[in-house]
Amino acid sequence: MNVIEIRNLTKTYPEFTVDQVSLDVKQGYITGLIGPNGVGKSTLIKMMLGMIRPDSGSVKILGCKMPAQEVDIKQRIGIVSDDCFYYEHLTIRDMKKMIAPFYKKWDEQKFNRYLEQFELSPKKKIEQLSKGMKVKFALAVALSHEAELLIMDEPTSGLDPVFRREMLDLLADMMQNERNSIIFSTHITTDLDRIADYIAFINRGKLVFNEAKDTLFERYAIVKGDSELLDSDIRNKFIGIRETTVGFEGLVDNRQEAEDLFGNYALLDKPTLEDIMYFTAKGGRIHA
Amino acid sequence: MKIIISNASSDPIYMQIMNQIRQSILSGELRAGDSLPSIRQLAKDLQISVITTKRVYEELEKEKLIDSVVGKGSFVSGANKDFIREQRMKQLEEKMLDIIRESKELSMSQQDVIDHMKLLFEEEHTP
Amino acid sequence: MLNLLRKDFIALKSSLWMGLMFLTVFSAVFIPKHSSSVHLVGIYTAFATLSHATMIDVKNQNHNFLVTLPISRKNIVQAKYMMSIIISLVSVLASYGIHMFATSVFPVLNKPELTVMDIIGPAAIVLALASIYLPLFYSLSKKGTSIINGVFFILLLALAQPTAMFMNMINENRLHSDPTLYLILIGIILLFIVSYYIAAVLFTKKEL
Repeated sequence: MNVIEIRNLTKTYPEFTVDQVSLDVKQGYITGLIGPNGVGKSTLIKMMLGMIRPDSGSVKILGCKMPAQEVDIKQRIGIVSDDCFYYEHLTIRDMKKMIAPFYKKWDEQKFNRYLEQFELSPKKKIEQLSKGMKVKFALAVALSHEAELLIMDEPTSGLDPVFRREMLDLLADMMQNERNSIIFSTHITTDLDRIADYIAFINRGKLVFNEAKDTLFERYAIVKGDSELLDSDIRNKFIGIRETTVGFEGLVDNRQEAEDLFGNYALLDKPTLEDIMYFTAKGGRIHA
Repeated sequence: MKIIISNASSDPIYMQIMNQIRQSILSGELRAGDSLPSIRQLAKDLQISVITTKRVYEELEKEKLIDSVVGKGSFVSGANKDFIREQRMKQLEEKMLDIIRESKELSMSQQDVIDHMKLLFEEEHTP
Repeated sequence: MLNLLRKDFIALKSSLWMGLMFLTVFSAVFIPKHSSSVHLVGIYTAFATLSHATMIDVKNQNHNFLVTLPISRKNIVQAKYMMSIIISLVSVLASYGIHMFATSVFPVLNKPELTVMDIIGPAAIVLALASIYLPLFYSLSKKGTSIINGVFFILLLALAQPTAMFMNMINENRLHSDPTLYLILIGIILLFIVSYYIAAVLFTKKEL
């Protein structure tokens, strides 16, 4: 089952376009939404949440239509972003008092436990919180109203590595219930290298792929070798290639073919998500 | 049960985990009826994708090393050690057949292969 | 709905003193001066509080936060309109209270007697102003809101004299039961309702 179903979503701006994006997010899994900054990840998420109205296309969340069933949907989802736009002059306690009554399934005890775990003092004002602490607070709110779907927009960009790891554990905790799902947009792909189940890659307003991470890593390969191996036919097999005076390094999306082609003449490495993102975004030949 | 994942290894993660669980079962560290962590718990503990651990359990089930009961989790299969050994022997035989085929291509005699194997055996044993 | 009103009260709680300050400052300025200045105290306090309440919502782009909550945008607008009714009534009643206090403690001021119309009148004026102000607030950005706040304050200052004269005229000519007054009142209520629908449509279409 899909918790998010996006069909042909389009939004045109003078600077860029989100172009006919269709995307399914599967229930029970963590989907990572990756892509360089400014290619439409945030716009896509804002359209999912009804903050931006699309020019055309449709969004279904948890089987309900946006924006017609917006209120029901928002009862059941948690939203965490690097800026949640809380009332800066209020304390955490006041902010909680404001938020809690809106949710039918608010669990006060759970919330207090998270505050303690995240070392957030209820007396602290929002304006005194660092970016990372704000994300922790947003996460505490999201996890305390039994959200079935967590939508996270660049949540880790303001976080230190220690809490980032902690957060991955919290997300895995939530995923112990196989009815829960998470979609997580980021340009820091190392977090997703670990825990993501599916990766959706957005580049220049278009969906490049949405696949299980494991098959992605089996399909793609990094090839490293001597530039003498390259001719125009072989270059065309690469999604992106970086040539230097000491050799080349390139990304292919058919590992088997590359193995047959290069045999022992070149080194085939497992790519990271960052490799895939870098070579796809740059495309063609990169001179360094 | 101890599982270590190496990022440096060329084996895919699912295979690393599978090999280690299989080894634990074959060595007797895990006995028939012992329960394994749930797919989601294992994914959490190893901080890896649920899809990966799911695949591990599915493959192990295919090898009849573990049984999965809906709602109860996964257990080391009741299949006995002889069966497991038989399974491994079968795998080994397949690899041996591969070696024989390869050596024929290289026009090695039977004795050449045996000699070479002997040499490798000795190398393995000397630290 | 109730939750949204509670939200406004929580957000305004820490600036409650501001409302009181508006009330004292405007009282100090207007009460000793003019015979029916009590109306201005109510109107000014109400409008200052209302624009403060809207500023709080846009100061840190909090609409982006509000729309993540399980409420419709229509509800958000509805609550703000309810809030403006509450604010105008409370402010006008408070100014009336101050007026009573002033007349009993300082009889030398020789303040005129007030009627129901002296409470409904200023409240209606505030609602009429809110009817123009709120749709603008819901269609404009943070910067736009600061600008219209400024414009409205200038407008209020400019309107002070005519309002006072108008209220005086009503009092002196004993026009309290004039049917045109009731027509004006009904007109304002209609304006307020129409304004709400416009604001709701504008805010629902707005991109955050």
